[in-house]
Amino acid sequence: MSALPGLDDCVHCGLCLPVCPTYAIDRRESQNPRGRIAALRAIEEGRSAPTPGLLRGLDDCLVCRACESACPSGISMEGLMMEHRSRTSDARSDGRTVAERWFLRAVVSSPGVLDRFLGVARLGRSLLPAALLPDTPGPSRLRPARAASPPAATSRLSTETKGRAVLLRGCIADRVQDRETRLAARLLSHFGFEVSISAPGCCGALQRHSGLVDLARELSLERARDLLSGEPDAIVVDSAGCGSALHEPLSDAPELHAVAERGTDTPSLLATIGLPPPPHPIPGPVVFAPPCHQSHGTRSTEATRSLLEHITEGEVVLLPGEEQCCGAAGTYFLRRPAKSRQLGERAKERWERGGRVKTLATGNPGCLLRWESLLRREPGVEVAHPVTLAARAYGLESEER
Amino acid sequence: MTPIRRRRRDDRRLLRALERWLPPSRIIRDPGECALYDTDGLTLHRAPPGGVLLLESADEVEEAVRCCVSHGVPFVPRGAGTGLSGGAIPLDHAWVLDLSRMDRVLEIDPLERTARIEPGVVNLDLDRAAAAQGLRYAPDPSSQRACTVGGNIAENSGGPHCFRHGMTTRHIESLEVVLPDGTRTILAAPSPGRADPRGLFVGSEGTLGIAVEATVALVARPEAVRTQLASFPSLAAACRAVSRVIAAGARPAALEILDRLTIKAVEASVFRAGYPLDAEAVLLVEAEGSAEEIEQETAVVQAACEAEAALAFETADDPVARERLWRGRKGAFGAMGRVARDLYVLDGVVPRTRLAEVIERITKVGERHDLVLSNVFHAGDGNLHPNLSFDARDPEQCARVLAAGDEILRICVEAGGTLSGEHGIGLEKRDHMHLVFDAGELATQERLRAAVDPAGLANPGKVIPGGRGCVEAGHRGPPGSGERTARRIEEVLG
Repeated sequence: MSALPGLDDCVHCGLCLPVCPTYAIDRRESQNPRGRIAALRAIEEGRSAPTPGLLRGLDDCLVCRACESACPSGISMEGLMMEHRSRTSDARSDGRTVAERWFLRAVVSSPGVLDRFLGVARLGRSLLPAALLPDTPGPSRLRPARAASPPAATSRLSTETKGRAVLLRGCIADRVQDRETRLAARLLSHFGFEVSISAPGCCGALQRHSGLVDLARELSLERARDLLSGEPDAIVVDSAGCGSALHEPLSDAPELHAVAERGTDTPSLLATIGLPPPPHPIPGPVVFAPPCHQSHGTRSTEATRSLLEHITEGEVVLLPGEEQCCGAAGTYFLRRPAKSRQLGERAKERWERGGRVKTLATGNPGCLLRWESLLRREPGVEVAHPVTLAARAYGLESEER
Repeated sequence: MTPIRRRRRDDRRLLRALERWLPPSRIIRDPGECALYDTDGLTLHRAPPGGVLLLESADEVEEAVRCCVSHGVPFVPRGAGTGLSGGAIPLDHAWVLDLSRMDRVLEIDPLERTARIEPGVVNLDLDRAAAAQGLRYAPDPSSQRACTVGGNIAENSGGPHCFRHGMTTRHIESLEVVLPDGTRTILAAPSPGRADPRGLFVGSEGTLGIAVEATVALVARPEAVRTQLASFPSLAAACRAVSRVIAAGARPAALEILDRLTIKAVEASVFRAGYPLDAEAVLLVEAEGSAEEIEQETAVVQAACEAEAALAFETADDPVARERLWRGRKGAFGAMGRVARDLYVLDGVVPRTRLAEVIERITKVGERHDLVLSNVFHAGDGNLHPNLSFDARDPEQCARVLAAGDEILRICVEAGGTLSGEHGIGLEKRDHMHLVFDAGELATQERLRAAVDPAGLANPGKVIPGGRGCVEAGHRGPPGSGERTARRIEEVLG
């Protein structure tokens, strides 16, 4: 079997240590990127058996990719973990891994099944006392998606078209932020783009992180074909996890590369046209909590930050320690609930340290759910997708429920 | 009973003693996990520990050392494991006392300009905490984003800005340490005429005890800072430019040189700094002080660079641009992973005036051993970091790396220099100590160590070559006290 990608590029410098969320909690060598790479090397070279301690360290990786932005040697932890998990996944038979695989294979990958699953989950959630389910996301966001059709060209500002844009609906993203997708469609349409919305369906991001690489590749290709069918100029993905996955093709298929080239998000696309001052600016201040996959995957946080600054009267601040994951991390909160909760608590502490700003903006379904759950007892706090705030500032929000 | 079986028995007894007061989640015995502690920033050597303890307070360190001593088990402190001389490699199956959880800045006193810290504080975190009060912690090793101040104290670490501000030892006001016999004492400024125990402790690489708290000196942040970048058609020209700067009486805060291979590696990385790719070498110079001083110094540096036919010269005053220029330097070590999976960073020091000539000889050593050799160095204080890229899985390559390293160290010493500028002796240069110390001097060091650590359990096998005196006899010293240890040190030092 070929060597794992990037395994030979680490000289043990340790610059990844301070940015690794799991190391911040545990301070064990097995819980930081340098140690994970050393573990994979030791196992591969037969110097160590895959002991429970080593496997726990590898399983606990969030694939938040913060280490990738710190690594002078350019190691892709995502690539490394994806390959490692893909090689070991089939051999694993612990309950959580099996449940996760089932969820990713059978539920997430098919929109119809996902809808039924969420229906049951909502019912279960409403029957069980909340205390039993402290980590499951709030039910309000997990609903079957509604509108699939693009908005009628409403109050379009200019008659000249700025190009064709297609919006990704996704799977979980479609349930969590379908309203945001419609708002993004309105915004883009308002500023002169010809907008269409793709059919719902999974892009393979979650499967990729759990090592179901073949399935991830297949799903991403399916999405790519669908997204490209209308020959769009821009493919807009406002869920950072999906954006990051589509940004980095899993094969040489030309469709995947075409999607990667045209992939963008609403703030980045709006930045290309120059926006007028908003008629109803957000009072502010706003705290921006960039999703990890936006910071370290698509690396497109600057456009979002600029957009927030443009539409906000008050200050826009970055969440302190913004490179530290909030613990949601795809299916991590299901797979590693205790650690996920610890990371969530730390994220909340950072929000408190940053001045308890009442409006928190973040552009990823997992992060939205996590922050809503973290701040649900805080009076007057709003957790919003940047697109929602932008739509509000331009008076387009009230048209969508 | 064989020594191995005896050690296993001792380890089991130690474990039982530890389990009485330390939660199991903070004792690592999983063999795979333990093996991750078998090396630090020097991957040329490996030795797995008997176990690892994640400690959270000075009391716990004291208790852990006492437990180790009473079971005759050696121990090694560890911070972030970024040291480059193998200081944290646990020889003799020593137990690793991991202090990275002790990461609090306890207090900053802006009037006294000091900070009281735990040893696991990351160097850059301390500087950031100081910056909030308009102050600065000056020593800035290239690993400062990750390395801990406790480790800096153990190795007497330097960094680019130590050219002007001095090494770690210059910045230590007082230390609270756990001595190798498990007693805790404070090391502070001595009364006149007595030896300074801080000077003895800083740089002792864990052989004289473990710092559990430190009061460090902070300095004012400079009024203005300017970073200058010059590129040269040859490494020798860059070295000569440094000599010209010094000869003209300028005293920059930092003077750093990177060679072509290093430039290429960092420019391909997230640490890309915009260094010109056509240059054989770049020189980074930092000026600190008043606006007027900075103008004067820039003129001197620019003239020196022009006299050596610099290809380009640029300056940066704003923090973002300056940070960009420094990024490449600080990411240089890790970026070499792009060349090969292991890197041996040497640390020899030579007189500044002989830099160009020594570099040339070192380059030839690399060629003769058919090794990829790159150079990054603190040119201001003649502290070289020849970097040898290799693959540690290949024993033949390792042998060539060790042979080349040996020759390079000898060249440095021959040129009137020494073994280490800032990484410490550790395991790496232990067997070269005789190049700079005679038998008598080494014997004195050994007696000193035995006075402080009669049982020979504190980071065994480091710094001093050969036998470890009374360790081999296996006898343990009497349960000590800080005063008694101080008396023993005074006896050795006369």
